[in-house]
Amino acid sequence: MDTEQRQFLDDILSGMRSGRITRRTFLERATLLGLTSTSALSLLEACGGSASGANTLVWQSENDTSNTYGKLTEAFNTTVGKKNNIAVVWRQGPNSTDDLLTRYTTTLRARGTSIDILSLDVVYPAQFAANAWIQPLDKFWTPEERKNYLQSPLQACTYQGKLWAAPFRTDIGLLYYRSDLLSHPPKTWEELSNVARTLQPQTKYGFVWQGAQYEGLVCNFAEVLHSYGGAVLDTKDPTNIKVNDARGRAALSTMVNWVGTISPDAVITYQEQQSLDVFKSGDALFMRNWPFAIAISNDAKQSRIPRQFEIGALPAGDKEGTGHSTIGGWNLAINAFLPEERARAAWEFIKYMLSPEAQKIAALEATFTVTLASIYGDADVLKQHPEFARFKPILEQSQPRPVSPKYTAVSNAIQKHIFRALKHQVTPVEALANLETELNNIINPR
Amino acid sequence: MTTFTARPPQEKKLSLFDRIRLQGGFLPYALVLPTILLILIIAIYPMLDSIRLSFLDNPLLEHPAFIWFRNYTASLRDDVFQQAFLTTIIFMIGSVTLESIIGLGIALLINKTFPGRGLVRAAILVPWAFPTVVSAQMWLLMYNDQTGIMTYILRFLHLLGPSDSLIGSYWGVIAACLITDVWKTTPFMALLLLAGLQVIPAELYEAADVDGASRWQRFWRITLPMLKGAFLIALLFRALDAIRVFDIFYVFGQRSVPSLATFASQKLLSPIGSDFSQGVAVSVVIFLLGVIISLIFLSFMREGTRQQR
Amino acid sequence: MAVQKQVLMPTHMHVEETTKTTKEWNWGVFGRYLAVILIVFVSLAPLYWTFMTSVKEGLELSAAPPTLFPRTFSLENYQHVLTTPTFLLALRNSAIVAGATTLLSLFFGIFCSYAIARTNFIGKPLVLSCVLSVNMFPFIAMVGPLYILFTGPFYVYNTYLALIIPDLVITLPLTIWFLASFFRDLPADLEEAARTDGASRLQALWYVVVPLTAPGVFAAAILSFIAVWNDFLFGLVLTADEQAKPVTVAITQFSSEHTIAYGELAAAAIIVTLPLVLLVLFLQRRIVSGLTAGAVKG
Repeated sequence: MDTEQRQFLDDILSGMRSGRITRRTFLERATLLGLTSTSALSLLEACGGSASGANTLVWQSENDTSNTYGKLTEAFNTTVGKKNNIAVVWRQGPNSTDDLLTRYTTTLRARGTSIDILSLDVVYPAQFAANAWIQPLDKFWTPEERKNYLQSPLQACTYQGKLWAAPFRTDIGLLYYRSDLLSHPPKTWEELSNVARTLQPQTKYGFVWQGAQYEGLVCNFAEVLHSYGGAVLDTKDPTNIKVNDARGRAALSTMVNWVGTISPDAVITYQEQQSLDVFKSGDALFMRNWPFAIAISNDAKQSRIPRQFEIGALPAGDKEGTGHSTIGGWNLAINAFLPEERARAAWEFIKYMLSPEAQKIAALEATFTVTLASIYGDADVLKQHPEFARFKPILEQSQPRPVSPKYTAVSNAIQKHIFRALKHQVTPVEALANLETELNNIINPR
Repeated sequence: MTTFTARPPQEKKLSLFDRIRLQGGFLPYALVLPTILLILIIAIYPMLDSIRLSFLDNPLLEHPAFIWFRNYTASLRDDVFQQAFLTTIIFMIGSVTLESIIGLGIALLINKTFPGRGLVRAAILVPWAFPTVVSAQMWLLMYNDQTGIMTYILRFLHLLGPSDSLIGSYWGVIAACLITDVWKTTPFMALLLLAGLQVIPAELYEAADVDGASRWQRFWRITLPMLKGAFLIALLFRALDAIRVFDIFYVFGQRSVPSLATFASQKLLSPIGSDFSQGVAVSVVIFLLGVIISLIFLSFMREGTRQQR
Repeated sequence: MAVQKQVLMPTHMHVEETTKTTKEWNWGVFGRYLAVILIVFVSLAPLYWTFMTSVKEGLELSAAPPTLFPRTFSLENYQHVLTTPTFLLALRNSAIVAGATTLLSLFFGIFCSYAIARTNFIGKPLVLSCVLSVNMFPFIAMVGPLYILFTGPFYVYNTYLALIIPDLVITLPLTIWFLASFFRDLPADLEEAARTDGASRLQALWYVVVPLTAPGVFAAAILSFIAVWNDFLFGLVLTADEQAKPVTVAITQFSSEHTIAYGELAAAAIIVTLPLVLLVLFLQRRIVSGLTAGAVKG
């Protein structure tokens, strides 16, 4: 048998062992290879079903340009994986979350098992759970064990009392400000506005954020809304829509007033990259963005303001309140259509990713804001990434976006109406009233 | 083609087999079969399945209910759908018109020999060969309000405010999409029309020269009619592509200025089952729009062949 | 058009010679050159901009106002792109898939177009409508059933076939309709002459009809190749890793969730576009001249 045939045989063997191809398909292909049907059959018997043989799992992650996921997978395969006869294959993800979602929905609608472990954006678990596309992790991960992890991401992965995904890393909205022009960050949005107006001539713009009509807008809006004490949906009763109240109106009015005054008109076309471009060119006093921007803004090859900025918590609505960052982040879930054996093996991998070793590697090498709370006090991590010390209090105050089994529709509605208000097509009052009506139709259909 | 001057006295009913044999035998079917088989399995089946899916409320359920046209009426009532529909029609008319005029001009221009002609043909192929995923991002960079070259050109021409971006307004997005699409797709038209020009027999022009025809007469009387077949097909395919426009609206218009296809895909990739079936319904609407456009074009083409006889 | 019927065969492809009077020469040719320069400029300007983006260093990339001539020059984007193994493998995949699809598309398409143009078989309008209907349906609605098909009964997921088959379906309609119109406009006399000389219908097709419609065949080939080259959606859903992933999907992986890697994207675009254009330029001269030379003989 030459190498190519050997390779083909290996492929179908591993495919059959991992349960990806049926016995019938295996036999068909083995006979294609030139084996007689009897020898193919005996090969089949020798390999057995799922009881023995290595389990090869596929992990589809989000985009990771640092290859840290590759390293972690490798580490798992050579240690825990080898011990338990599990091998994990890491699949690099597309950079657009929409493209990743396309892959997931196509696969899961077809009840496909070509992906075993999924990396889910923090807003997907409830929806995927509602479709029975992922399986609950409560039997694998006890509430006791979960205590050491950040609570906000766990809250985002909980739906109807069960936990559907294990938070691996999170993301928080931060306020970036020019420390060469300001000594301390503003405590309220009003203060931010005033400072920006005064100092704006020294940069070009006062405050840049993400105002385009996309998911990021929901993050920005949620942050301002939560900082005024408001909420989109009642956390205790997700069918109760609370966005159209005095606090909501105050929040939206604040945002609308920024456009064209302390923020450029084009802020309604900005996503993360565009707002970062403005800030790191030195043209903005304040920026709202995720932690990834820290390293880039400190890199003299890309930024005009290295070491001339600081990060802080987002401002609050009024003097008594606190700012609440929205969390982003990625969570590991298990495909619901897997047999028991494979699901268990998948959990082994997830458990490894949640372990202190793996979380530390992720924090050190990729600057991931991981979910194990102790990492934020770890000496090695703090030496390499001192800003992690700042994150802890911010993480404790962070809040997720509304958790809903219909999150996609909810998000689309929020995006649409908030965007119209930002473009001055409707007043904030009208926008919120329309939003409430549409959310009602989505969440409480007649 | 011979014509019977009188009917044969006994009108024998021809069997299907005889009729087939008279019209070229089974060879045409053999030639056509592989293509049709492929199209049936890969395209027609999903299309029909989509029509079926569009009549359901939630395809993810075990026993989804048939709600017939409710998905369609819900879409028609949705103001975002209405805007997407209008946007797509405007875009289609704009892009097809601009691309055919400019494409025809380019084809006529490079149909004559001149030094460097080969290089020009290669140059105009560049926009079309440029990978779509990247060209959309590059143009986005050019429209960037801070660093974009197009923004600076537009500000220089006083068409844009100091902190604004072309893609910040509805008509700006349409303009941006048209500019990028015309840049990208005109070579497609030009190439097809050029091929059409190249098979026009030279004798026709020589005969016209002998008759003393002017350049305009040559163009109007010979070139255009001879080009009609290729031109209409190029237009038809361009129009069908235009109603399915996705990439540029996805990057420039995003959620705020959707085209029919970006609106459909937004619903289609939603995990929510009822959104999915609505997305399928919108896809079927695009299909129906395509059918209407095809029928219109086909009537023009048939007119053409009727004239030729 | 009675004129068409009388022409027995084109003696040469219609390419106008520029022989005019001196007065017309000045205006006509000047205007033509101006137009040509304008067209070339507009076509290539974004390419130049992309090239500049790929060699500018980070700081200059986000300069406002943008610089027309790069003040910095660095090839690190190209280095990064070319040393990413997944990118080169994806390039290979795209080349193979596009090439194979184009050849198959021409093969099936020429047969189908010939049947449509020259015969009047029962069910022809149905065939034509079927073929055209492919172009009326947004592909995003087709990927779901295709995924199910390719991971189920016909398991070719993550192989070249998984891309070639749907790509064939998207290239065939234009090929067929376009070539059918070319074949139809070609006078039948030449084929009849060949057949009375003893050639079969198929031989007449390949040795007479195709060479005479060479510009059309070539145009269809280029357009098919580029259409397949540019496909993103099928590549995203029907492939999983470097085994079959096309370059359009691989390019997106230089960016990350929140950042757009403009430099790498630009470098990748140049790497992908220029060879393609040069290849077409080269083939154009060889193939078209070769085929038309064959046709000139009486």
